[in-house]
Amino acid sequence: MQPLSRITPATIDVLSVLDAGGQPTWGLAIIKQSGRPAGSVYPILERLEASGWVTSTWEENDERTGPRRRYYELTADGATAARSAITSFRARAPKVVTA
Amino acid sequence: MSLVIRAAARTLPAGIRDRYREQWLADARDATEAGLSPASIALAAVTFAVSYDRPLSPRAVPTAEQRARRSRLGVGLALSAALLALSVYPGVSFQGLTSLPVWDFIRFFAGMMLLAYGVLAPLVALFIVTGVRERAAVVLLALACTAPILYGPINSALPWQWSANTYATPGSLAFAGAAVLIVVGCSVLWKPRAKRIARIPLIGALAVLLVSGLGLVYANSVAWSEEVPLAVVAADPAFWAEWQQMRAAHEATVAATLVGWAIAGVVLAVLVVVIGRRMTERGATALGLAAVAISLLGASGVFGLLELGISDSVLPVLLDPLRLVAQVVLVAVTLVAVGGVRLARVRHRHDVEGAVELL
Repeated sequence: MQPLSRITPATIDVLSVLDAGGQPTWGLAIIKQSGRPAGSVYPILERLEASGWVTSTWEENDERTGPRRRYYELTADGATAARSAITSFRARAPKVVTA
Repeated sequence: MSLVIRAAARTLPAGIRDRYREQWLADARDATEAGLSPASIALAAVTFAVSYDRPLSPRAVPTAEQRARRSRLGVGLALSAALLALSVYPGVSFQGLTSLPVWDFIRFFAGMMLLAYGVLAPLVALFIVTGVRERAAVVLLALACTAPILYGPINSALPWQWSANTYATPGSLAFAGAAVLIVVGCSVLWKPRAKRIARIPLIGALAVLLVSGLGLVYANSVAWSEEVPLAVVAADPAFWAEWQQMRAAHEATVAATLVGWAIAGVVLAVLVVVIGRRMTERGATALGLAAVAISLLGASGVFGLLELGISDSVLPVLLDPLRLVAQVVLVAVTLVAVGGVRLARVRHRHDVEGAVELL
Protein backbone atom coordinates (compact mmCIF):
# COMPACT_ATOMS: atom_id res chain seq x y z
CA MET A 1 0.00 0.00 0.00
CA GLN A 2 1.28 3.47 -0.86
CA PRO A 3 0.69 6.66 1.11
CA LEU A 4 -1.57 9.19 -0.57
CA SER A 5 0.17 12.23 -2.02
CA ARG A 6 -2.64 14.46 -0.76
CA ILE A 7 -5.67 13.96 1.47
CA THR A 8 -8.42 16.44 0.78
CA PRO A 9 -11.64 16.98 2.77
CA ALA A 10 -13.46 15.12 0.00
CA THR A 11 -11.07 12.19 0.39
CA ILE A 12 -11.80 12.13 4.13
CA ASP A 13 -15.54 12.08 3.40
CA VAL A 14 -15.15 9.11 1.04
CA LEU A 15 -12.90 7.25 3.50
CA SER A 16 -15.44 7.92 6.26
CA VAL A 17 -18.26 6.35 4.24
CA LEU A 18 -16.15 3.30 3.40
CA ASP A 19 -14.99 2.91 7.01
CA ALA A 20 -18.49 3.29 8.40
CA GLY A 21 -19.89 0.73 5.97
CA GLY A 22 -17.56 -2.07 6.94
CA GLN A 23 -18.57 -4.04 3.87
CA PRO A 24 -18.44 -3.65 0.08
CA THR A 25 -20.31 -0.47 -0.82
CA TRP A 26 -21.84 0.44 -4.16
CA GLY A 27 -19.99 3.35 -5.78
CA LEU A 28 -23.19 5.34 -6.22
CA ALA A 29 -24.03 4.85 -2.53
CA ILE A 30 -20.62 6.32 -1.63
CA ILE A 31 -21.41 9.35 -3.78
CA LYS A 32 -24.79 9.74 -2.15
CA GLN A 33 -23.60 9.28 1.45
CA SER A 34 -20.49 11.43 1.11
CA GLY A 35 -22.53 14.31 -0.28
CA ARG A 36 -19.75 14.97 -2.77
CA PRO A 37 -20.37 15.30 -6.53
CA ALA A 38 -19.81 12.18 -8.62
CA GLY A 39 -17.15 14.04 -10.58
CA SER A 40 -15.07 14.27 -7.39
CA VAL A 41 -15.78 10.83 -5.94
CA TYR A 42 -14.86 8.74 -9.01
CA PRO A 43 -11.28 10.16 -9.22
CA ILE A 44 -10.85 9.77 -5.42
CA LEU A 45 -11.91 6.12 -5.56
CA GLU A 46 -9.59 5.54 -8.49
CA ARG A 47 -6.67 7.08 -6.58
CA LEU A 48 -7.45 5.09 -3.42
CA GLU A 49 -7.63 1.88 -5.45
CA ALA A 50 -4.40 2.61 -7.33
CA SER A 51 -2.66 3.22 -3.97
CA GLY A 52 -3.93 -0.03 -2.46
CA TRP A 53 -6.23 1.55 0.13
CA VAL A 54 -9.35 0.19 -1.53
CA THR A 55 -10.32 -2.82 -3.59
CA SER A 56 -13.33 -3.07 -5.87
CA THR A 57 -15.36 -5.95 -7.23
CA TRP A 58 -18.31 -6.45 -9.54
CA GLU A 59 -21.66 -7.16 -7.94
CA GLU A 60 -22.93 -10.73 -8.07
CA ASN A 61 -26.61 -10.43 -8.83
CA ASP A 62 -28.12 -12.86 -11.29
CA GLU A 63 -31.50 -11.11 -11.22
CA ARG A 64 -30.19 -7.84 -12.61
CA THR A 65 -29.18 -7.93 -16.27
CA GLY A 66 -27.01 -5.47 -18.20
CA PRO A 67 -23.97 -3.62 -16.87
CA ARG A 68 -22.90 -4.53 -13.34
CA ARG A 69 -22.47 -2.27 -10.34
CA ARG A 70 -19.03 -1.77 -8.85
CA TYR A 71 -18.54 -2.26 -5.11
CA TYR A 72 -15.71 -0.77 -3.06
CA GLU A 73 -14.24 -1.69 0.34
CA LEU A 74 -11.18 -0.76 2.30
CA THR A 75 -8.27 -3.22 2.41
CA ALA A 76 -6.98 -4.27 5.82
CA ASP A 77 -4.06 -1.83 5.63
CA GLY A 78 -6.29 0.73 3.99
CA ALA A 79 -8.79 0.56 6.85
CA THR A 80 -6.05 1.26 9.40
CA ALA A 81 -4.62 4.11 7.36
CA ALA A 82 -8.09 5.52 6.73
CA ARG A 83 -8.94 5.69 10.44
CA SER A 84 -5.61 7.34 11.15
CA ALA A 85 -6.15 9.87 8.38
CA ILE A 86 -9.70 10.64 9.53
CA THR A 87 -8.59 11.10 13.13
CA SER A 88 -5.65 13.25 12.14
CA PHE A 89 -7.78 15.37 9.81
CA ARG A 90 -10.47 15.95 12.43
CA ALA A 91 -7.84 16.85 15.02
CA ARG A 92 -6.46 19.51 12.69
CA ALA A 93 -9.84 20.79 11.65
CA PRO A 94 -10.76 24.17 13.22
CA LYS A 95 -13.21 23.89 16.11
CA VAL A 96 -16.49 25.68 15.69
CA VAL A 97 -17.38 27.54 18.86
CA THR A 98 -21.05 28.18 19.42
CA ALA A 99 -22.35 30.69 21.89
CA MET B 1 -26.37 9.61 -21.53
CA SER B 2 -25.17 6.25 -22.74
CA LEU B 3 -23.45 7.82 -25.74
CA VAL B 4 -21.67 10.40 -23.59
CA ILE B 5 -20.48 7.71 -21.17
CA ARG B 6 -19.29 5.47 -23.98
CA ALA B 7 -17.47 8.36 -25.61
CA ALA B 8 -15.80 9.32 -22.33
CA ALA B 9 -14.77 5.71 -21.66
CA ARG B 10 -13.38 5.43 -25.18
CA THR B 11 -10.74 8.04 -24.36
CA LEU B 12 -9.41 6.07 -21.37
CA PRO B 13 -6.42 3.72 -21.61
CA ALA B 14 -7.32 0.25 -22.86
CA GLY B 15 -6.60 -1.38 -19.47
CA ILE B 16 -9.38 0.43 -17.61
CA ARG B 17 -11.72 1.35 -20.45
CA ASP B 18 -14.14 -1.59 -20.27
CA ARG B 19 -14.31 -1.52 -16.48
CA TYR B 20 -15.31 2.14 -16.22
CA ARG B 21 -17.68 1.98 -19.17
CA GLU B 22 -19.65 -0.83 -17.52
CA GLN B 23 -19.49 0.82 -14.08
CA TRP B 24 -20.71 4.19 -15.35
CA LEU B 25 -23.46 2.64 -17.48
CA ALA B 26 -24.72 0.71 -14.45
CA ASP B 27 -24.52 3.84 -12.27
CA ALA B 28 -26.38 5.93 -14.86
CA ARG B 29 -29.06 3.27 -15.16
CA ASP B 30 -29.54 3.08 -11.37
CA ALA B 31 -28.87 6.73 -10.56
CA THR B 32 -32.53 7.52 -9.96
CA GLU B 33 -32.72 4.66 -7.46
CA ALA B 34 -29.88 6.30 -5.49
CA GLY B 35 -31.49 9.72 -5.67
CA LEU B 36 -29.06 11.08 -8.26
CA SER B 37 -29.56 12.15 -11.84
CA PRO B 38 -28.16 10.09 -14.74
CA ALA B 39 -26.83 13.34 -16.24
CA SER B 40 -24.60 13.86 -13.19
CA ILE B 41 -23.06 10.44 -13.77
CA ALA B 42 -22.44 11.24 -17.44
CA LEU B 43 -20.87 14.56 -16.46
CA ALA B 44 -18.73 12.79 -13.87
CA ALA B 45 -17.59 10.29 -16.50
CA VAL B 46 -16.49 13.12 -18.77
CA THR B 47 -14.74 14.88 -15.87
CA PHE B 48 -12.98 11.66 -14.92
CA ALA B 49 -11.89 10.98 -18.51
CA VAL B 50 -10.52 14.49 -18.92
CA SER B 51 -8.68 14.60 -15.61
CA TYR B 52 -7.43 11.00 -15.55
CA ASP B 53 -3.68 10.99 -15.09
CA ARG B 54 -2.54 8.84 -17.99
CA PRO B 55 0.85 7.21 -17.66
CA LEU B 56 3.29 8.20 -20.39
CA SER B 57 3.76 5.39 -22.86
CA PRO B 58 6.58 5.18 -25.40
CA ARG B 59 4.01 6.14 -28.06
CA ALA B 60 2.97 9.25 -26.15
CA VAL B 61 6.34 10.90 -26.67
CA PRO B 62 7.01 11.05 -30.40
CA THR B 63 10.49 10.19 -31.55
CA ALA B 64 12.55 12.59 -33.65
CA GLU B 65 11.68 10.55 -36.73
CA GLN B 66 7.94 10.72 -35.97
CA ARG B 67 8.15 14.47 -35.40
CA ALA B 68 10.00 14.92 -38.69
CA ARG B 69 7.41 12.80 -40.52
CA ARG B 70 4.57 14.76 -38.95
CA SER B 71 6.19 18.08 -39.83
CA ARG B 72 6.69 16.90 -43.40
CA LEU B 73 3.02 15.96 -43.66
CA GLY B 74 2.06 19.35 -42.21
CA VAL B 75 4.16 21.18 -44.78
CA GLY B 76 2.63 19.04 -47.54
CA LEU B 77 -0.89 19.88 -46.36
CA ALA B 78 -0.15 23.60 -46.11
CA LEU B 79 1.67 23.78 -49.45
CA SER B 80 -1.02 21.84 -51.30
CA ALA B 81 -3.72 24.09 -49.80
CA ALA B 82 -1.74 27.21 -50.75
CA LEU B 83 -1.24 26.00 -54.33
CA LEU B 84 -4.92 25.10 -54.46
CA ALA B 85 -5.82 28.60 -53.30
CA LEU B 86 -3.57 30.10 -55.95
CA SER B 87 -5.11 27.87 -58.62
CA VAL B 88 -8.53 29.35 -57.87
CA TYR B 89 -7.46 32.59 -59.56
CA PRO B 90 -7.79 31.41 -63.19
CA GLY B 91 -11.40 30.47 -62.50
CA VAL B 92 -12.51 33.39 -60.36
CA SER B 93 -14.09 35.34 -63.21
CA PHE B 94 -15.91 32.38 -64.67
CA GLN B 95 -19.48 31.88 -63.43
CA GLY B 96 -21.18 29.87 -66.18
CA LEU B 97 -22.99 26.57 -65.77
CA THR B 98 -23.25 23.83 -68.30
CA SER B 99 -26.46 22.25 -69.47
CA LEU B 100 -25.31 18.86 -68.17
CA PRO B 101 -26.80 18.22 -64.70
CA VAL B 102 -24.41 15.36 -63.93
CA TRP B 103 -21.37 17.44 -64.68
CA ASP B 104 -22.76 20.37 -62.71
CA PHE B 105 -23.18 18.08 -59.71
CA ILE B 106 -19.68 16.66 -60.06
CA ARG B 107 -18.26 20.14 -60.37
CA PHE B 108 -20.22 21.36 -57.35
CA PHE B 109 -19.26 18.34 -55.22
CA ALA B 110 -15.60 18.45 -56.18
CA GLY B 111 -15.55 22.20 -55.63
CA MET B 112 -16.99 21.79 -52.13
CA MET B 113 -14.46 19.07 -51.31
CA LEU B 114 -11.59 21.25 -52.49
CA LEU B 115 -12.97 24.22 -50.55
CA ALA B 116 -13.18 22.13 -47.35
CA TYR B 117 -9.66 20.88 -47.96
CA GLY B 118 -8.39 24.42 -48.49
CA VAL B 119 -9.82 25.48 -45.13
CA LEU B 120 -8.98 22.41 -43.04
CA ALA B 121 -5.55 21.47 -44.41
CA PRO B 122 -3.69 24.62 -43.23
CA LEU B 123 -5.39 24.39 -39.81
CA VAL B 124 -4.34 20.75 -39.40
CA ALA B 125 -0.86 21.68 -40.62
CA LEU B 126 -0.51 24.42 -38.03
CA PHE B 127 -1.57 21.92 -35.38
CA ILE B 128 0.78 19.05 -36.24
CA VAL B 129 3.97 20.79 -37.34
CA THR B 130 6.59 20.92 -34.60
CA GLY B 131 9.89 22.07 -36.14
CA VAL B 132 10.79 25.76 -36.01
CA ARG B 133 11.71 26.07 -39.67
CA GLU B 134 8.75 24.00 -40.83
CA ARG B 135 6.38 25.95 -38.61
CA ALA B 136 7.57 29.26 -40.07
CA ALA B 137 6.98 27.91 -43.57
CA VAL B 138 3.54 26.58 -42.67
CA VAL B 139 2.50 29.95 -41.24
CA LEU B 140 3.52 31.65 -44.52
CA LEU B 141 1.68 29.02 -46.56
CA ALA B 142 -1.41 29.30 -44.38
CA LEU B 143 -1.41 33.06 -45.02
CA ALA B 144 -1.18 32.35 -48.74
CA CYS B 145 -4.34 30.24 -48.42
CA THR B 146 -6.33 33.37 -47.58
CA ALA B 147 -5.89 34.87 -51.06
CA PRO B 148 -9.26 33.66 -52.38
CA ILE B 149 -10.96 35.03 -49.25
CA LEU B 150 -9.43 38.44 -49.87
CA TYR B 151 -10.22 38.45 -53.57
CA GLY B 152 -13.98 38.82 -53.29
CA PRO B 153 -14.24 41.70 -50.77
CA ILE B 154 -11.35 43.66 -52.25
CA ASN B 155 -12.58 43.35 -55.80
CA SER B 156 -16.19 44.13 -55.10
CA ALA B 157 -15.99 46.66 -52.26
CA LEU B 158 -13.31 48.97 -53.57
CA PRO B 159 -14.23 51.15 -56.55
CA TRP B 160 -10.54 52.07 -56.88
CA GLN B 161 -9.50 51.74 -60.52
CA TRP B 162 -5.76 51.77 -60.29
CA SER B 163 -5.23 50.29 -63.72
CA ALA B 164 -7.07 50.20 -67.03
CA ASN B 165 -6.19 46.52 -67.32
CA THR B 166 -9.16 44.54 -66.03
CA TYR B 167 -6.90 41.68 -64.99
CA ALA B 168 -4.63 43.88 -62.87
CA THR B 169 -6.90 44.67 -59.94
CA PRO B 170 -6.31 45.10 -56.21
CA GLY B 171 -7.84 41.64 -55.77
CA SER B 172 -5.21 40.22 -58.07
CA LEU B 173 -2.58 41.53 -55.67
CA ALA B 174 -3.89 39.08 -53.09
CA PHE B 175 -2.99 36.23 -55.42
CA ALA B 176 0.33 37.81 -56.32
CA GLY B 177 1.05 38.10 -52.60
CA ALA B 178 0.06 34.48 -52.12
CA ALA B 179 2.46 33.43 -54.85
CA VAL B 180 5.27 35.35 -53.14
CA LEU B 181 4.40 33.77 -49.78
CA ILE B 182 4.51 30.30 -51.35
CA VAL B 183 7.92 30.96 -52.87
CA VAL B 184 9.28 32.35 -49.59
CA GLY B 185 7.73 29.49 -47.61
CA CYS B 186 9.30 26.89 -49.90
CA SER B 187 12.66 28.62 -49.90
CA VAL B 188 12.68 28.42 -46.09
CA LEU B 189 12.41 24.66 -46.42
CA TRP B 190 14.74 24.18 -49.35
CA LYS B 191 17.30 21.38 -48.93
CA PRO B 192 19.25 20.12 -51.95
CA ARG B 193 19.12 16.37 -52.42
CA ALA B 194 22.00 14.23 -53.58
CA LYS B 195 20.45 11.30 -55.40
CA ARG B 196 20.34 11.54 -59.15
CA ILE B 197 18.18 9.86 -61.74
CA ALA B 198 17.59 10.94 -65.28
CA ARG B 199 14.60 9.42 -67.01
CA ILE B 200 11.69 10.52 -64.84
CA PRO B 201 12.58 14.24 -65.09
CA LEU B 202 12.87 13.90 -68.85
CA ILE B 203 9.41 12.35 -69.05
CA GLY B 204 8.09 15.12 -66.83
CA ALA B 205 9.71 17.77 -69.01
CA LEU B 206 8.28 16.23 -72.17
CA ALA B 207 4.84 16.12 -70.54
CA VAL B 208 5.09 19.79 -69.63
CA LEU B 209 6.09 20.77 -73.15
CA LEU B 210 3.37 18.57 -74.62
CA VAL B 211 0.60 20.03 -72.45
CA SER B 212 1.83 23.59 -72.95
CA GLY B 213 2.23 23.09 -76.69
CA LEU B 214 -1.20 21.53 -77.17
CA GLY B 215 -2.76 24.30 -75.11
CA LEU B 216 -0.99 26.97 -77.12
CA VAL B 217 -2.02 25.43 -80.42
CA TYR B 218 -5.59 25.16 -79.24
CA ALA B 219 -5.72 28.66 -77.79
CA ASN B 220 -4.17 30.27 -80.83
CA SER B 221 -5.90 28.35 -83.60
CA VAL B 222 -9.34 27.61 -82.18
CA ALA B 223 -10.29 29.83 -79.29
CA TRP B 224 -8.93 33.06 -80.69
CA SER B 225 -9.70 32.26 -84.30
CA GLU B 226 -12.16 34.33 -86.27
CA GLU B 227 -13.64 31.19 -87.75
CA VAL B 228 -14.15 28.22 -85.45
CA PRO B 229 -16.08 27.92 -83.11
CA LEU B 230 -17.55 31.34 -83.70
CA ALA B 231 -19.86 30.44 -86.58
CA VAL B 232 -22.86 30.89 -84.34
CA VAL B 233 -21.62 34.23 -83.09
CA ALA B 234 -20.78 35.40 -86.57
CA ALA B 235 -24.43 34.93 -87.61
CA ASP B 236 -25.39 37.78 -85.30
CA PRO B 237 -23.89 40.99 -86.73
CA ALA B 238 -24.38 43.00 -83.56
CA PHE B 239 -22.69 40.42 -81.38
CA TRP B 240 -19.98 39.92 -83.96
CA ALA B 241 -19.17 43.63 -83.96
CA GLU B 242 -19.11 43.71 -80.19
CA TRP B 243 -16.85 40.71 -80.08
CA GLN B 244 -14.46 42.23 -82.60
CA GLN B 245 -14.27 45.32 -80.42
CA MET B 246 -13.50 43.29 -77.30
CA ARG B 247 -10.98 41.22 -79.20
CA ALA B 248 -9.17 44.36 -80.32
CA ALA B 249 -9.13 45.66 -76.76
CA HIS B 250 -7.60 42.46 -75.41
CA GLU B 251 -5.35 41.64 -78.35
CA ALA B 252 -2.15 42.73 -76.65
CA THR B 253 -3.04 41.09 -73.34
CA VAL B 254 -3.86 37.79 -74.99
CA ALA B 255 -0.72 37.83 -77.10
CA ALA B 256 1.41 38.61 -74.06
CA THR B 257 -0.30 35.86 -72.10
CA LEU B 258 0.28 33.28 -74.79
CA VAL B 259 3.94 34.23 -75.12
CA GLY B 260 4.31 34.24 -71.35
CA TRP B 261 2.69 30.85 -71.10
CA ALA B 262 4.99 29.43 -73.76
CA ILE B 263 8.03 30.77 -71.91
CA ALA B 264 6.68 29.42 -68.62
CA GLY B 265 6.23 25.98 -70.18
CA VAL B 266 9.82 25.90 -71.40
CA VAL B 267 11.16 27.19 -68.05
CA LEU B 268 9.09 24.59 -66.19
CA ALA B 269 10.41 21.82 -68.41
CA VAL B 270 14.01 22.95 -67.87
CA LEU B 271 13.42 23.15 -64.13
CA VAL B 272 12.00 19.63 -64.09
CA VAL B 273 15.17 18.34 -65.73
CA VAL B 274 17.63 20.40 -63.71
CA ILE B 275 16.03 20.03 -60.28
CA GLY B 276 14.66 16.55 -60.92
CA ARG B 277 18.15 15.11 -61.43
CA ARG B 278 19.00 15.94 -57.84
CA MET B 279 15.88 14.36 -56.32
CA THR B 280 14.75 10.91 -55.31
CA GLU B 281 12.66 8.96 -57.77
CA ARG B 282 9.48 9.75 -55.89
CA GLY B 283 10.28 13.44 -55.72
CA ALA B 284 11.19 13.59 -59.39
CA THR B 285 8.02 11.79 -60.43
CA ALA B 286 5.97 14.12 -58.32
CA LEU B 287 7.81 17.14 -59.69
CA GLY B 288 7.02 16.08 -63.24
CA LEU B 289 3.35 15.54 -62.41
CA ALA B 290 3.22 18.84 -60.55
CA ALA B 291 4.60 20.60 -63.58
CA VAL B 292 1.90 18.97 -65.70
CA ALA B 293 -0.72 20.14 -63.24
CA ILE B 294 0.67 23.68 -63.31
CA SER B 295 0.62 23.58 -67.10
CA LEU B 296 -3.00 22.49 -67.02
CA LEU B 297 -3.78 25.36 -64.72
CA GLY B 298 -1.93 27.66 -67.09
CA ALA B 299 -4.07 26.32 -69.90
CA SER B 300 -7.14 26.89 -67.77
CA GLY B 301 -6.04 30.45 -67.11
CA VAL B 302 -5.41 31.19 -70.77
CA PHE B 303 -8.70 29.68 -71.79
CA GLY B 304 -10.35 31.77 -69.13
CA LEU B 305 -8.69 34.84 -70.58
CA LEU B 306 -9.91 33.86 -74.00
CA GLU B 307 -13.44 33.17 -72.86
CA LEU B 308 -14.63 36.11 -74.95
CA GLY B 309 -13.69 34.11 -78.00
CA ILE B 310 -15.32 30.83 -76.99
CA SER B 311 -19.02 30.18 -77.19
CA ASP B 312 -20.83 29.86 -73.84
CA SER B 313 -21.75 26.23 -74.43
CA VAL B 314 -18.16 25.17 -75.12
CA LEU B 315 -16.40 27.20 -72.45
CA PRO B 316 -17.46 25.38 -69.26
CA VAL B 317 -17.00 21.98 -70.82
CA LEU B 318 -13.44 22.92 -71.71
CA LEU B 319 -12.37 24.83 -68.66
CA ASP B 320 -13.85 23.12 -65.66
CA PRO B 321 -12.67 19.55 -66.22
CA LEU B 322 -9.22 20.91 -66.95
CA ARG B 323 -9.21 22.99 -63.81
CA LEU B 324 -10.61 20.28 -61.53
CA VAL B 325 -8.22 17.62 -62.77
CA ALA B 326 -5.31 19.99 -62.39
CA GLN B 327 -6.33 20.99 -58.88
CA VAL B 328 -6.80 17.42 -57.66
CA VAL B 329 -3.50 16.36 -59.26
CA LEU B 330 -1.79 19.35 -57.70
CA VAL B 331 -3.01 18.45 -54.21
CA ALA B 332 -2.23 14.75 -54.58
CA VAL B 333 1.22 15.33 -55.99
CA THR B 334 2.13 17.85 -53.31
CA LEU B 335 1.00 15.49 -50.56
CA VAL B 336 3.08 12.66 -52.04
CA ALA B 337 6.19 14.65 -52.90
CA VAL B 338 6.32 17.09 -50.01
CA GLY B 339 4.05 15.56 -47.39
CA GLY B 340 5.53 12.07 -47.69
CA VAL B 341 2.11 10.45 -48.07
CA ARG B 342 2.36 6.92 -49.43
CA LEU B 343 -0.05 5.84 -52.12
CA ALA B 344 0.98 2.22 -51.63
CA ARG B 345 3.25 0.37 -49.27
CA VAL B 346 6.54 -0.44 -50.97
CA ARG B 347 7.99 -3.80 -49.95
CA HIS B 348 11.46 -3.49 -51.37
CA ARG B 349 13.23 -0.35 -52.42
CA HIS B 350 15.05 -2.30 -55.14
CA ASP B 351 11.69 -3.05 -56.79
CA VAL B 352 11.00 0.66 -57.10
CA GLU B 353 14.41 1.40 -58.51
CA GLY B 354 14.00 -1.47 -60.95
CA ALA B 355 10.62 -0.09 -62.06
CA VAL B 356 12.17 3.34 -62.52
CA GLU B 357 14.94 1.86 -64.62
CA LEU B 358 12.35 0.19 -66.83
CA LEU B 359 10.92 3.61 -67.63
